[in-house]
Amino acid sequence: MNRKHVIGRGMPLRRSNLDTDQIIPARFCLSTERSGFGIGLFGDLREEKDFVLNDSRYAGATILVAGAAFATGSSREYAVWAIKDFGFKAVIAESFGDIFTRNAVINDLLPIKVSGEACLEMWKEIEENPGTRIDIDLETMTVSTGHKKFAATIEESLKQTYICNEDQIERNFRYIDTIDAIAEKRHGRLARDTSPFSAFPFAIAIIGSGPRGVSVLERLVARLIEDKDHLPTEIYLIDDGFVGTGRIWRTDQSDVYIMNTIASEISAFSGPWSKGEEIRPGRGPSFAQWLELTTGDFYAYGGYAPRAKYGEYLLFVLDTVENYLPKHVQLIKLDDRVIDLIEEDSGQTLTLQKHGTLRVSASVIATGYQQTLPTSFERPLIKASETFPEFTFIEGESAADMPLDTIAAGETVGMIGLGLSFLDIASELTIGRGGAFIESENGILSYQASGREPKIIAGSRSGMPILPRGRNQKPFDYEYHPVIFTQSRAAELRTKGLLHFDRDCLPLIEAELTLVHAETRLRAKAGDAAAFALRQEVAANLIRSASDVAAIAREHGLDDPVIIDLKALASPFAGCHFSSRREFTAELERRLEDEYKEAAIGNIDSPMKAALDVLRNTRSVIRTLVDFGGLDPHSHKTEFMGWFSPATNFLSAGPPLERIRQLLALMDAGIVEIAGPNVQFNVDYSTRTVTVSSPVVSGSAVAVSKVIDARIPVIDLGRDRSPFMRALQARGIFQSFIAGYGTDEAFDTGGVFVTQSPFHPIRSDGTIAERLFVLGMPTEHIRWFMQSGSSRPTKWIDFMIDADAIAAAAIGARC
Amino acid sequence: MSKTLLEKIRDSHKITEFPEGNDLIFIDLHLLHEINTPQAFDRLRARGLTVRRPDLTLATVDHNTPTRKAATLVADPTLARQVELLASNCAEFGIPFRSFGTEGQGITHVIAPEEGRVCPGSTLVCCDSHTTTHGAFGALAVGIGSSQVEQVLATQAVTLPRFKSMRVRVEGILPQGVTAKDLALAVVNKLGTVGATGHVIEFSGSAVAALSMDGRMTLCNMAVEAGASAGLIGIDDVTVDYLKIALARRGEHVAPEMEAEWRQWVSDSDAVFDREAVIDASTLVERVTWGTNPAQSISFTDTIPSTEDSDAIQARSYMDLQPGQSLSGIHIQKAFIGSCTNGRIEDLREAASILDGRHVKDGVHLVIVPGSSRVRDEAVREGLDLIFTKAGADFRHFAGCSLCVGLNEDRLAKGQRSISTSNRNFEGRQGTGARTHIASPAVVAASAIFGRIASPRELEIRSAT
Repeated sequence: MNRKHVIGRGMPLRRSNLDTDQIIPARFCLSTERSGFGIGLFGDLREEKDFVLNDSRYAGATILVAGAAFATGSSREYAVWAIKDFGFKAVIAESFGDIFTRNAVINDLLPIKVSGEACLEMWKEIEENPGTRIDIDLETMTVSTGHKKFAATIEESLKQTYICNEDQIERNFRYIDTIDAIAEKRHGRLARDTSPFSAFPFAIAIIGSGPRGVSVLERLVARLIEDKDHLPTEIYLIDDGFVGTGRIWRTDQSDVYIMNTIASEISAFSGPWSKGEEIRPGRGPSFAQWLELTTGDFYAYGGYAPRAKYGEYLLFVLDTVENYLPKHVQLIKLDDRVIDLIEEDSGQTLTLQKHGTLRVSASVIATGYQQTLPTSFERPLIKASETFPEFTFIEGESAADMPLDTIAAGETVGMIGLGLSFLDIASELTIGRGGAFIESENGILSYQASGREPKIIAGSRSGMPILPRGRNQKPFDYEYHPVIFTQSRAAELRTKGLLHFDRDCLPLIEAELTLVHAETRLRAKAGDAAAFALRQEVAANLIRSASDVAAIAREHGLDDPVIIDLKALASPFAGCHFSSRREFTAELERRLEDEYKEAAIGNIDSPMKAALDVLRNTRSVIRTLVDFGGLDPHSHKTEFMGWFSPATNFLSAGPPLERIRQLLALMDAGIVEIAGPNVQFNVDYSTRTVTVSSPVVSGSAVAVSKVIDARIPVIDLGRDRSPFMRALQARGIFQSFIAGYGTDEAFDTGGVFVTQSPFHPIRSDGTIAERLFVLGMPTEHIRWFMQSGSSRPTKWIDFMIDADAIAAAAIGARC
Repeated sequence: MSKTLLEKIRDSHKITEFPEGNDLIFIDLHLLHEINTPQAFDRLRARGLTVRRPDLTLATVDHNTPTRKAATLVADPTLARQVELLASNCAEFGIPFRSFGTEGQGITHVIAPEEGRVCPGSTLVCCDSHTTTHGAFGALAVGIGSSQVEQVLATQAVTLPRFKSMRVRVEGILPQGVTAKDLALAVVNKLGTVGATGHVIEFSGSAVAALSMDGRMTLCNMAVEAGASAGLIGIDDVTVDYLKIALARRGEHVAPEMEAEWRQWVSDSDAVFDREAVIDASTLVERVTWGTNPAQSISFTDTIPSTEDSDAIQARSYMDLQPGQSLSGIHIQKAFIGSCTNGRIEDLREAASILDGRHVKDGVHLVIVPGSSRVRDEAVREGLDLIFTKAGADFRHFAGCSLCVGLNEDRLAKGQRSISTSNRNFEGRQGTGARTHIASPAVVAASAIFGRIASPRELEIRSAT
């Protein structure tokens, strides 16, 4: 073949600026072969019917005549391959992209330049005479058609490369010694990349070191102490700022933030302890025992301790664990935030904000509440906060992390929620600012202001502050044994397919509560034996409804048994309307005083408080029914999540009763006002004001300059804005649990989809991440009531059972 | 005899001069990605050859990989195959591979500088035209095709023509709000898409000296859009400081001798260039492309040109624009911040400063893709992710080319209009019939807020009233 002449029929491509993206669109570049790209040549343009490539008159053309700036852009050699593959031997253009011409000559495609005028004339000639023969002569550097001859150019190096058509790699090898020498001089001898992870000890990361993380650690170490293999093991305890306590139990928070569980009912050790015994992982003092050992004084709230104290106790547990680490186990505490997790063959690589990457064999994800993206409820308040300089929205957080010191004395502040956070924040803004509660001789509590308090207008959907728990009368090892709402009955129900909560579960719960209510009253009226007899008969007759319990109670001498209706209890102001703020406040105060009196009777002697306590005692029975998709999806969403779960919080997870007395004193002092039921926060952009109001309390609108979100944060994976949770989702390791998957009523619960114990995440492709474990908060909705943050001293409840199962499985991952 | 920086690098890396006029140039660093490489490895194997210096090679995935969810990659066997082939090729030949989603992964032109791998006075090739980016470090960085990838894998040297030299001096101070991207668009506008063909452009002058390394990379990145074979910027304190920090991250200390060696990589003061151009920085303004190549850009005070040549007519028709229209009347549905041009931390900071406390217009989808995993981590560390999310932007977890090259799940629909920090507005590049306007991160962020092409200055005006 004479490489100095290329002769063939021309194709007139009347276009300039045809870059390589247009020559071959990227979607045609996905093949890993070297041929077959002709089909993608001008892939988009060819969709136009009259595009020249589709014109049969030019079929068989081997020389493409284009305009200016041909094949600029991407370096893709696919462009050359596609042109060649289509059958072209040369491209004539006014100018070319640089990389294209280099690629072309290597692939025996000749790129040759002519003037713009020459292009125009050639186009015209070919169009007039399809089939026009073009002769490219590299010796005379001309391009000629039948009638005309044009001057052509090509860089000399390209021309010679084309003519010689030499194998560049073979040619390079003639100089390989020189190349190697310069390589060695500049970079040393070849050093192959060695795997950074060839030898590393077995390592477990515990991500999040609140009570759950610490419990897993305690169980891990208790088990590793017994471990006979003595395999070297590293445990990383990772928490952002609060290693050992987590953010919620940080030790530097105000003492006015108190717990809602009695200290004697809490232990973070997995085994009981008596005074004088050795303290070690698996056996240690309960929270109350530790308080006695250290401070001796925690009875300010009838057995409820400040949160900060529990943090100190958790640090004590961590210290104990550290002191008892076996020689082959190392504990590394990292004050850091995990922002990414990559699964590898036998473990994971974590990316930490400060420490870079960390290779581990298994990870326990025990993170707590996360910040979520705002909902349509919060968005107007956030927008107002950004738009009006005089208004601030304080987003939901642990009270200790809120910027409460930005609230000025006398400022009117709105608050969303009437739960524990509301009471905590109200305390911080009053007694935390130098005020004091003073009890008069006749037992009336009043608030002595410091003058630094703001004015608080708070509200919630129910309009009623969270109910106080009864004064504790129960011993620390108290256990309630249900007779109607039992584990065995729940297990049996669970075998019958999807349950409807209000229809199948609620009647049993209400029957159990009705029994306790009746039993308590009967005990007061006729003694222990009478109460016991009632319980015996209810059990013996396999009673399942509240009305049947009431009927038996009547037979046992209780004239007017109360049938517990949880829905009604949870919305105390349903159907009410108030003509003024004053009328509502008066009614609320009356009800709060009644609540206080009832709670003061005690959690054994008050029929209502004793009954509602059963909601706490039977949480594990509810879990048996509900967890891992036990409910019909519609019922799960509207009934269980819709009203029951919040109602149990409102009715049975409240504060010590003293808090309600304090609230009354604060209302009396004009510092706290409750806005009313179905509270609304209205943003008015014309007047730039935010008001708090209740639609059922006339004239209740009050303008506020700050709004504090004091609700329990909602767990919703999809709205979680923490980088870690988002990374886990992006990587397909976490996905939301879809209740009723595949049915019309399927809904995204927002909880992480996990297996049963030991709670491995189920990846988005349906496989199980066996070296990962998820405990607590993120799994809320597939499991229930994950916010419970402690175990009991005498008995392993779910909290400790879960922690131990994970510890056992994590150690098991070694083999 | 005085020499240009280009000549100095060539002389120090030249193995031989071939009779046809090409040089054989030793390559210090060879970057690989998943698209243009499978064929090179196949041919290497077929010839019974091996990779000569895997230690001078660095591979990652960027072009086709998803940025939102990893599952997308698994779900698409064609994409997954390219990624898997690169991984197995790297494993077979011992090439360091920054696999999908790992700490070092990202766009090749973002990760190599981050790792401190681009040294002054070195040579670098990659199967990607935007390899010119690395010229910001005083390195000769050239984009190559698959055949030359094979050549470099096999021999660690490549045949290159003797490039001509061109100096673009940018003197004076860039006005407030005018960025490296605007300068790059101005250079491409001035030279045209093939204006610098066969040349290596060395950028110099006080306005270039005042740019950060991220800004210099943006400028050199776009040199290829003017047809240049490479961009170059001589080394100075800014380069040295950047490299010291990058190497310190790898635990490497820069010895004084090394720093002294680096500092020689500048053109001699009396070196003669084949071509020269001068730009007065003070006359530059924010620029946005209106047409279908990166040279077709205008300022906010200009209008869509009414020129009647076929290119302009074709571009206006494709972009659905009328002569005389101004930029600020053009509505957009998509906005993209990222790519090897503007996907670095400074670019994200620039966007965040505009988006902080503001919200993306309803109906506009603003996609922000970090250029590398490290850029993402740094953005998270600085809280930029929260600013983006709060502003309603779609901040992606994984790094990659994404909406710039249209190979992963991010593509524009037919007729959809976007404003983008990427480098090419070619017909069909971001999807068949897609319309893309190129601008700086600040202009893209402001445009996303307004829902039409807008200058950040309009935000100042709005908040002042």
